[in-house]
Amino acid sequence: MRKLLAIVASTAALAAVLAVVEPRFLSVYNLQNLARLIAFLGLFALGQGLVIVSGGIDLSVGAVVGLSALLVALLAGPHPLPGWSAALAGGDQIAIGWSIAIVLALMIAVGAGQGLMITRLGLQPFIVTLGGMMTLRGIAHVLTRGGTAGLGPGHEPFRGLATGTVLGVVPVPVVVLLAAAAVVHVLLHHTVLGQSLYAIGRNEEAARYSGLDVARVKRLAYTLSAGLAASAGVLYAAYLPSVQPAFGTAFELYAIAAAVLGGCSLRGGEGTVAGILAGAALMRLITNGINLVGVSTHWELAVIGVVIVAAAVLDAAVRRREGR
Amino acid sequence: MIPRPRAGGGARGSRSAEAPLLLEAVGLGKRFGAIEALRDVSLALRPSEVVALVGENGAGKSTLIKILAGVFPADAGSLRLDGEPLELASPAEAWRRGIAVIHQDLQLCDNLSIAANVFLGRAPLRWRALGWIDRRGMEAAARRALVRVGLDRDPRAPVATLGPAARQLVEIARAAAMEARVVVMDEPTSSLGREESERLLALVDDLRRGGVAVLYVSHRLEEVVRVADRAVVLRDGRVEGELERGEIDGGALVRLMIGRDLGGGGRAGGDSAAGRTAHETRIPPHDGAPLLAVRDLRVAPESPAVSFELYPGEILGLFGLVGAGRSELLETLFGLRRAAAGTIEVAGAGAGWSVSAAVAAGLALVPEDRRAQALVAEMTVAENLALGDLGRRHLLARRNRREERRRAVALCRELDVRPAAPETVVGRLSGGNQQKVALGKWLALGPRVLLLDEPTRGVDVGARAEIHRRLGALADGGVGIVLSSAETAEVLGLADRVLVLVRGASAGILAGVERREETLLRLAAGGAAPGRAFTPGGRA
Repeated sequence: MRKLLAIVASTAALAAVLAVVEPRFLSVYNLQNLARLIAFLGLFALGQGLVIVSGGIDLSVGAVVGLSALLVALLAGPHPLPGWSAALAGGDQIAIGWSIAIVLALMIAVGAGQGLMITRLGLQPFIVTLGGMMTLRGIAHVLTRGGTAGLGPGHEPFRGLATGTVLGVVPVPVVVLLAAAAVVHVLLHHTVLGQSLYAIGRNEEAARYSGLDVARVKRLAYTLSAGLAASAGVLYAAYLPSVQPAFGTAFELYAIAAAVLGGCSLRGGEGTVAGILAGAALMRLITNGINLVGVSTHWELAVIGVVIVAAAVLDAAVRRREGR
Repeated sequence: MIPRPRAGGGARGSRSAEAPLLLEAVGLGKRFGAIEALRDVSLALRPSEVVALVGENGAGKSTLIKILAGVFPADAGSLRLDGEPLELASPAEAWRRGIAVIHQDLQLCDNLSIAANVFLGRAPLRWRALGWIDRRGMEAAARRALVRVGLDRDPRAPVATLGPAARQLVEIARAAAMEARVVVMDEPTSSLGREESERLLALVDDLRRGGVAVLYVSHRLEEVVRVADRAVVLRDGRVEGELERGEIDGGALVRLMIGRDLGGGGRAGGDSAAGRTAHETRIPPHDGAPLLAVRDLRVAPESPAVSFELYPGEILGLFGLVGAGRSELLETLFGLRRAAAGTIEVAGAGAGWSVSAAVAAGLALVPEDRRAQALVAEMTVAENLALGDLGRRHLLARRNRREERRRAVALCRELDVRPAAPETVVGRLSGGNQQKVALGKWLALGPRVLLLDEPTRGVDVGARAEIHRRLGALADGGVGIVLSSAETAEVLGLADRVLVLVRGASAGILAGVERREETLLRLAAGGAAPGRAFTPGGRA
């Protein structure tokens, strides 16, 4: 609880400082853009958070985001690449709705498959999802043959998913994120599944001895993670003019960073939905601040890195003060 | 009353003039919270002497070993080596001073070679500053050490490829390679077969011939009789008596371990019988159908088949030494392990091989290691008490925190958990209260058969009595209970019948007047039929 307060407070404090220092921060354009970016990160950080609470890790998140965005653009886009079978690419033949459905189903299957390998074969999550990440990333490169994919002009209703607003001000991705967060919040904090995730993350052995369906619960965590990452990928497809095969690289690390900043412990069994959202917001706020204040964007990674380590040091110090 | 050969706290042997003392412990005391684990314990080891340390579980053997190993210091008393005061700040220091302690749970690195394990932490270096390990020199030295202990293996082979007996030998080779002067062996044969045990005992003889002082800790009294020059018996943290070579026999050892004359039936003294007095002499009601029927159950393909039945309202004791396979049997019954063969029926219906199937059939297991297996230490009492129910519900079902809390309050009151606050983090509770929570987790579901693995290990006297009282009440209410314990007092105080396990096999089921401490210990110690192993006394 105090962790959550700390992260929300630091996020608010940084926003306040930016508002004072840089008037452009409060412009509608900037705030909408910032909210949109927070929403994208928040979506796949939520999934990562679920996996981390279960005591695992999902390194495939970034590749799922990237390949999802790419596939939507390829399936629904007008410019199939040379040699790309027209029947599959289909240009306008395949409705955008269908491509979204296919991508989501495919990625959920990928997540379920990874979960199955982790639980059924007893493989380490790190290895399974590292392999998943490289495989999906490789497929993205094969599909585009090094080029890029784009939806091209048109597709206004679909583009609206990313660029549109609700009630004239709230970007649509924010609404999507809030809906997803509400669902995940209920799952994590109010259902048997959520309580099982915490128990498994803290002490898998005790969970097994208590008769919990450890394998099923963990599979669900990886499945949900892939599903949420795919949703983020779909929104990115609507947002970006074109998608490169390397798109989404290192996103899994941002997701882990957001989750950990938000109070998740990599030891498992700790973390809240509100915290993860606050963590995602803080990360994007830092980037936004760097851009606005005019510091070279090359500093971005270094600053985020320092913030994460500082948060960990602070957390350890507080723990030690409390006497373990 | 059979006279005690040498009762009291003094440990000075009659031969103190014969050889100089090598290692000496004087008046050691150690407390853990409210429990006094050791009180005024003195012990002396001479070169070329094998001293056996025996005592029931909880008698203080492990505490004494850990003090000698430098794991923790004693609260009172002192150690002396060659007459000089000895302060051990760490296990490494104990090794350095020539005291090799071979713990029961062997501390080898599976992934490293035999040679690397023999020289773990003190590998011979070629260029000291670079930390370059002299691999060839190390392997040659390891080979010599292996020859001494009679292990015919390539020192380059990884330890993972070795069986339990060979691992034990690697530990001893480690002691040999460092020219240890004192070797402490804690239950060295608990995981060994008969021939392997023989080899190990021969090795102990070799060590003795080589001038080493050996402290041999074992439950297996026949081994003690065979190998020890002297036996020191601990009971309730004190030295109960000491036997010289000619005096050591099974009967005398058991008498000292129990601390009283072997009177009639199975009545065990102390608090353990509290609340169960009504059942002391009753003949279990074996009319009607059994609640739990286990037939030809094999825990592993090569393990022996075990069969038994449990009737409603019965407490079946499961007695055996550490490593006798009690936990494995209970875990198999509870669906945590898949049995290699055999059937398990609960109230006439077959129970499947999964925990959820076992729970659905009305089984519940309170496992041996409560912190690792029963409880989520960082979660609250209420959350832990809800764990058993969690596994039965649909994953998308809503958690009802208010209901969880209400039940937790009721269970805390029923089991007298202190503090009776459902929001307390379980890890902060005392061992006894944690165990009550581990039990309460299943009581909330109203189990038909309760499997308990060492339910009062590391539990204070008050909580122990409370747990025993609860178990008695549950049995009176018709619940069938399988109580696994290595403590005779607990088993005899509570159980209507006792199944004795030896190396995974049933050595017999004792009921009524057969349930005697002496018989239990004899059966468990050797797997021998009563009366065979130890002649004096001629009982059984």
